[in-house]
Amino acid sequence: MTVLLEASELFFDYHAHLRRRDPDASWTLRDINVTMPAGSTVGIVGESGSGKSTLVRLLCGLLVQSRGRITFDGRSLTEWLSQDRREFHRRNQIVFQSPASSLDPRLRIKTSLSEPTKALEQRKPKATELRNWLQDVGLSGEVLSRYPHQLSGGQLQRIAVARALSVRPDVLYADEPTSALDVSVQAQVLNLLMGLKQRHGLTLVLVSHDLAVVARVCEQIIVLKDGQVVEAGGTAAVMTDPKTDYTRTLVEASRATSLVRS
Amino acid sequence: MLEINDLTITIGPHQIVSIEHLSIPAGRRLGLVGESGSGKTMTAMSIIGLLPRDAVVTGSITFSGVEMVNRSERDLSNIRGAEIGVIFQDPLRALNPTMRVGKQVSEALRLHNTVPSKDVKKRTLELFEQVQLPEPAVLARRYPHQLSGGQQQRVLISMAIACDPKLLIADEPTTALDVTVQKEILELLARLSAQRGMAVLFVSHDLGVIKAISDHVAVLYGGSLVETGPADDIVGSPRHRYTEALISVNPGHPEDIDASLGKPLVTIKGSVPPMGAFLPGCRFRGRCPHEIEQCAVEPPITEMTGDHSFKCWNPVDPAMPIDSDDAELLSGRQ
Amino acid sequence: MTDQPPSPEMSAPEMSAPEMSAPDTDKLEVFESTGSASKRWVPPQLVIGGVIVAFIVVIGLASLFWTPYDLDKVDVPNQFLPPGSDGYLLGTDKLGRDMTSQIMAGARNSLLVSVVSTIASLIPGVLIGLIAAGARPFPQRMISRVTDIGIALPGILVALVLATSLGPGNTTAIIAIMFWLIPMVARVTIGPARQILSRDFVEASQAYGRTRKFILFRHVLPNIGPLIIVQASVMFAIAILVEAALSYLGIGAQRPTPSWGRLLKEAQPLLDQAPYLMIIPGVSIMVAVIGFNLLGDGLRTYLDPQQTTKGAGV
Repeated sequence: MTVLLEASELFFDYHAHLRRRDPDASWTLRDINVTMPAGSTVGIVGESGSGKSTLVRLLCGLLVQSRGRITFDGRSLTEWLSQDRREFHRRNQIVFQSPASSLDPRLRIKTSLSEPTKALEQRKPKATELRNWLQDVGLSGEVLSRYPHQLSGGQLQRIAVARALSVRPDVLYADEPTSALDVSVQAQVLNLLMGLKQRHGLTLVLVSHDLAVVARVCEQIIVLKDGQVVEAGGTAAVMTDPKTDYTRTLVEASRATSLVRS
Repeated sequence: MLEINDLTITIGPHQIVSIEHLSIPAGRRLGLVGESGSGKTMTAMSIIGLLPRDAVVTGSITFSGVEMVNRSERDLSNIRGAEIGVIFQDPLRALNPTMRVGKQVSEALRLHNTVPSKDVKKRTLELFEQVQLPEPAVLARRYPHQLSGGQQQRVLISMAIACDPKLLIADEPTTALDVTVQKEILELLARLSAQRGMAVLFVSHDLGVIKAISDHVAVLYGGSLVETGPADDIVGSPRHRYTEALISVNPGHPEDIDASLGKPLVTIKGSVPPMGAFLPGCRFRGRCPHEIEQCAVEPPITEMTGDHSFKCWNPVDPAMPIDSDDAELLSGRQ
Repeated sequence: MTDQPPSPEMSAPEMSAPEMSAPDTDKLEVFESTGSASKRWVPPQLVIGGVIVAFIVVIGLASLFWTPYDLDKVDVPNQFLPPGSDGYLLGTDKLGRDMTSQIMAGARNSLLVSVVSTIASLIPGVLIGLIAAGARPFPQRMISRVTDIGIALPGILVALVLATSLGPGNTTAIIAIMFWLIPMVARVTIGPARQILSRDFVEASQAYGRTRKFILFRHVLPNIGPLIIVQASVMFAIAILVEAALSYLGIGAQRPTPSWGRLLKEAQPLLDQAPYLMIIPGVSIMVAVIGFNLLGDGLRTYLDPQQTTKGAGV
């Protein structure tokens, strides 16, 4: 498999402008090295404050690293953003945690769903396209004329996924896509992501605090703690034979509250 | 010790909770599990009379033989804190941000006059030790925002147990915490309950968490108690179709990770309907894959041995496809 | 502004497929958030405020074409007629001029000054607020401090200074009110705009390459729109009060321009003799202010997108 995305020696600090005064201040992310082959599923796991959300925002160009280099499809991210900004965003899309907040409450679903195409391809999507996108995530065209508050959390999250996929990205980042949903709906959204990944040959990057979820979806796991990668590797290896104490604690804590499954 | 009978909670046109019977014996831990809109928080808060003003409560809730429904605010606030302790999901909102945490615990002790005032400080530090806060004397002088989420929750627990309550109501106390901290808090609550003979009503949306802490589990869906029983029975051999579904949608920790990787998870179709949009009859109707015609009628409570009961017309069969009891039960099936 | 979420029929939930289905074949039912067919509820404040404001607008406009008597028709024999006198509904002043006509024409001037000054303050105020909210931390702090200074300036003093250079009149009143309102509008815009900017849909919008400017005008502005409308109606009320105050001090409207504030000023020396000359314009100002405030309050409830049932969002 070819390497689609590579980050090396990545540092990030939200208060970069204060660093000159206090060069020893802790980094939000420090010395991150990540490689993602095309078509892989990668899970980024960590507790709150570990920097997992910050990392995906750097990778998809919403934040700019303080130091280090990100390469996407052979070109550096800096180059992408200065020369082919639209094309980069088209190929890298993201879905957020809170379905209620990820759609503008004053816009009809139709308008929100058309936005990426309008912004990135400079055209208005056809009605049949909109319906196809919705069908892809298991919704009917009925929702097009609705407003976000008229839909359930699971439906909104599907729409957010459909919106991200409408520009046929190569990589889909999902930042805790199910943690705001009911357990009975969580499985629907995870299945949807896995199915779409298969059908569209996506590279899927799933950020989650829930190891059980990541273990079902991702081939690779990256464990973050305090802004650093403490462990990375194949899911089965990391879950069954953790190399660090921290990962072991994490796996045990997750097992303690998990229901035994045959 | 706590007994709920024919409890209904109504807000405006919608009946939000309707529970026939639920009890917690002294010193036991009951887990109340339900998704959003199940009425689990309403049920818990109705015990201590902390409901929205427009909520109408009927039925009976007795605590140590005393009726709690429609009690005066004054009586309730005496019971709250002294005999029933409460902890919430977001400890930072439950603590006063402008007061040192040690002082807040001392205030709780003074309010209910449980210890002589010269001992209040000593007792506060003892409580901090019991909830395993490191360096109690140092932490007592901190403000809430200077503590980690887990420490804040421990402070809140120490406040809740300050007056030796007989019952502790814990409403999603670990949902906002990291998994490693969650495990510690669950262990702490289990230990405190065992040491003090304190009953616990633990409310959560996560059956895994509930199973880790409770002896007994009550499953709520759409305001209706669909199944109650010992925790191992509920998780090991559920009878109600909703309980079964709730267990099977859990991603769990499979033995063979590689084999299950990328395989679809079991799902429940649709999502929890909003308040007032539940179909008549069984609440799970419309989402249940085992629905039969009778489900349009509210199912009766089926009592089983071992304190296990459920409300389902077409329950999970623990052993064989249809045995004699079930055949009778399902006679109306077409 | 009034594009409101529709309230379609509730689609009957279908209950087929007895299997736990995979999501790609799963058809979800769309349900109303309240479960019942909902009509938009019109809050009573909106109705009462709307009626008061409409009444003031109607009499103000009518005074352009018709008033019971000529505004400046002096009729000394009929001076100091009390309200309710034959042919003079609100009585007459010391020169026998009809109060009804004066109040009608005064409404016109109050509205003119408040509409012009409110609109002239809203546009720059909202722009400054949006720009500040979207700016980096440093310029944002700078703009905030400048608006703080603007708010701290005593408005009456500014008006007095303006009057010495521009001379008294409506223009002076309008400019003085703008000085007063622009920093206020900017200030109330920044907070909510920043709140909207922190929502996920803004980040999503950035992820498909939208610029700050686009996000500010297409996402933030519509979302704070209701707030601005509410603010505008409160500003109308403030502008009416300030206009009356300035006219009372002699900086605003001058005779022959009719004005409620000026009527107050003229009635003051005659307080013992004819108290109604003060009460009538005073009550007019009060009613107008209450009307606009009620209208604003009602609009806030009405424009809340989540408002589907009675009392929601109050």
